[in-house]
Amino acid sequence: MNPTELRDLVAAYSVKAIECADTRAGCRIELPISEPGGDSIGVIVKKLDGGGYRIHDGGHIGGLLFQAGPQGAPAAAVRAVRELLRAADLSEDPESGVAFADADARAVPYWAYEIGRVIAVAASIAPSPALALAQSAADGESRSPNTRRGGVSANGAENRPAAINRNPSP
Amino acid sequence: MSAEYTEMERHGHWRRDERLIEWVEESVRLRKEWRSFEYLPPPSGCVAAFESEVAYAERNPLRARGNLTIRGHEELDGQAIINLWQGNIVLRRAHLGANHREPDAGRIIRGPHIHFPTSAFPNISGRGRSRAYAWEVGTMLPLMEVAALFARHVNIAGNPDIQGRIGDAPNESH
Repeated sequence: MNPTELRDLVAAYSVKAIECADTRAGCRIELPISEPGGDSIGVIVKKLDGGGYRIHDGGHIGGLLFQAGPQGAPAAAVRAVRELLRAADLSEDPESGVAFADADARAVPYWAYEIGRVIAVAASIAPSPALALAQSAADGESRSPNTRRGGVSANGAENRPAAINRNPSP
Repeated sequence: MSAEYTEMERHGHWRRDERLIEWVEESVRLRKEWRSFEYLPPPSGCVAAFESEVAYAERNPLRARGNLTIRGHEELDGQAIINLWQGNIVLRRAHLGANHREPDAGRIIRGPHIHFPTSAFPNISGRGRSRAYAWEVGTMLPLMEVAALFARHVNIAGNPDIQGRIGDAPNESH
């Protein structure tokens, strides 16, 4: 694959992944990047009355911190996300609480990706350290006296595809 | 086999030795009931949030650790997420308002979906990837409506508290 072909391939993938839809907070643009869990990252773009646009997270960063654990995110994660917002020059709207940047039309894509990047990093910072526990359960630690196959279901196992299909779905 | 299992089976792209986690699936299947329900101050940029405790309504043979809790929130743009936790582990996560891409460059699930853990991707709330199946509900539903549908989906019987409180939520925008 030569550089032009590679560029065209990645561009086609990106264009296909980008979606826009109206929401009650403004137009939501889904970027061709995902959170660690696979959820698409979207940012909201809203036209300002005085001209220009406000690009914001729609409240998703606050939601990520809220859902980072059964009691919310650890204080250290909240501090880290605040620092991340500050470093990215994003402000917090005092009324709605969203993280935002105001820009003219030309700079909308830049800020859309910048906020998308912050969401991606926040999604990585926010979770509480539950991984080890979940991993041990998944690795076959039996919690049930009724479990017959090491805590992992045999449900449908024989019907699973035999290998990973690495061809991306459209 | 329930509808959601059938949906999971259709996904393909599973790894060779990937399995559902039996105790998680059993926990989801077991009949449960509400114990408490509290609205919480919405997080930054969000319009509503709640937390509730849930208990098994039938004998639980799993000896699973940790309490069952549900936390849900709705964001300014209508995106909503509801987690069913057992201790520190998310058994199911409902997500409205965004698409999901399956791991290993798998297919895109457009619209509402529910995350579930498998042996290969056990950590829904963490930094790793996770699987999901499509959830056939409307988009842009009020949080309490999503909560009631999610409760039915994960076999929480009744929901008198939620039904009684619809419309009472502070900062509820609907």
